[in-house]
Amino acid sequence: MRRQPESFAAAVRAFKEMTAATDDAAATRARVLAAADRGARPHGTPRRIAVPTAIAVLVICSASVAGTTLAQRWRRPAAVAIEETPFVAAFGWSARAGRRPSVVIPPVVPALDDAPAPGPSDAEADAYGRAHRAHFDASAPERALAAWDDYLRLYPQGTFEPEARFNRAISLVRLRRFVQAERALQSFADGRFGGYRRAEAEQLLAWVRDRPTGP
Amino acid sequence: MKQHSSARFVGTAPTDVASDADDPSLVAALAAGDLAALAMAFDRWHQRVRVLARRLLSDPAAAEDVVQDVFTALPRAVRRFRGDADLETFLLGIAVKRVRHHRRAALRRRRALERLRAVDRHGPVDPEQDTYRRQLGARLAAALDELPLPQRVAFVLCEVEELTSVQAAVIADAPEATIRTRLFHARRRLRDLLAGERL
Repeated sequence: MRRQPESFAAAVRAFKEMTAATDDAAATRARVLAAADRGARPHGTPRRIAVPTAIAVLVICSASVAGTTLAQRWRRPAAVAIEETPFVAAFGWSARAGRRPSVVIPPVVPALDDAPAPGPSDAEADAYGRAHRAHFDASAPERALAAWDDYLRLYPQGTFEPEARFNRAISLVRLRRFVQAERALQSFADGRFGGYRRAEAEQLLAWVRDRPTGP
Repeated sequence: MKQHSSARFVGTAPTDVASDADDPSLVAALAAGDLAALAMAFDRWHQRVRVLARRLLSDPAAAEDVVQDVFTALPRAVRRFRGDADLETFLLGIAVKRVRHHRRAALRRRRALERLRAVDRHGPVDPEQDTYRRQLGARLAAALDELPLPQRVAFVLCEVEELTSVQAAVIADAPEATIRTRLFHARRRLRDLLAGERL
C-alpha cells in the first residue's frame, strides 16, 4: 500500500530540519587551514620527505662504508688470524684457517662527526604512520586518538611528539571530549612547544571554552 | 540543536581578499594558495557543504569529514574550475564526489548507533510533536540509506535541496535526463520503503 503524499512530504520536511543543523565548524576550519598552511610553507614539504630522505642517506652511507671496507679487505693481506671460537669450530672454519690467512674485519663504526642526525626509527615511523592514516586518511577520530596515545606511550619524546600531541588534541575536540581537549591544547597555548600551533591552540581553546552548550 | 554563528569560527581571518570577493578573484586567490581566501571560502560555504553532506550521509561525523576533505582539496581542485557554473556549485560537486569515500563508514556507524539506540541521544525538546518529526526524518534517512548513491544524490539535490534538475546535473556531473530518471526511481523506492515501515 502506498503512503499518502502528505506523509511523504512531511518526512522530507522532517529530514530537512533534522539535517540542517551545523556544528564543530571551528575544529574543521582550523584543520583545513592548518593543512593548507602546511602545504604552502616551504618547510612543510621537506618535513614530509625528511624520513625517506634520511633513510636513503643512511642506506647510501652504509653502502659506501661497506664498499670501502670490502675494498680494503681485498687489497690488504691478513692482519690477524681469527681465534678459534666455538662458533668458528662449529662451522669447520678452523680447518680452513691453516690454508688461508684470515682477517678480522673491524666493526663498521662511523666517526662521530660522520654519524647521521638521529631520526625516527622504522618502528617509530610506523607507529606515527598508523596514527596519521587513521587521523587524516580514514578520518576516524576514535581510532586516531588510540593510535596517537599508542605513539606517545611508546615514544614520549619521539621525533614527532609535537605533531602527535596536537593531532591528539584535535581528535579529542572531534570526539567532543572537551575537558581533555582543553588540557591538551593548553600546553600548546602555553608555548611548551614554542610557536608550534600556538595560535591555533589558543583559538581552539577559546572556542572550546565559549562553545554553546546544547541540550 | 546547536547553532554556531560565524563569529565563533576560529582560524585565519580573511585579510588579503575582500570579504565580498567575487568568484573570479576568489578563485585566483585560492589557486595561488592564499590562506585568507581559503578561510573566506570556508566561512562562506562550509554550512552549505555540511548540510548537503549530512543529507547524503545521514551522519554528522562523516559529513564533517567531507567538509574537511572538500576545503582541503579546494586550493588544488580550483585550478580545474572553468567558470561554467558558480563556485558554490563547483564546491558541491566536489562534496558529492567526496561523499562516496565516506559512505560506507557512515552507514556502518549509523547502523551501530541504531543498534545502541543512540540515534536520539540528544533528545527532543518538545516531547511529542518533536519526537514524531524526528522519527519521520529518521525513517526517511534510513530509507535513503537503502538507495544507490546516485539515486540518493538526485533525490537530495532535487527534493531536499530543491535545486532544479539542471543544477543537480551540474553538481552530480551527470546528464539532466539521467538525474530525472534517478529521481523517479528514488521517489518510487522511498515511497515503497516508507510504506513498508507504515509511516
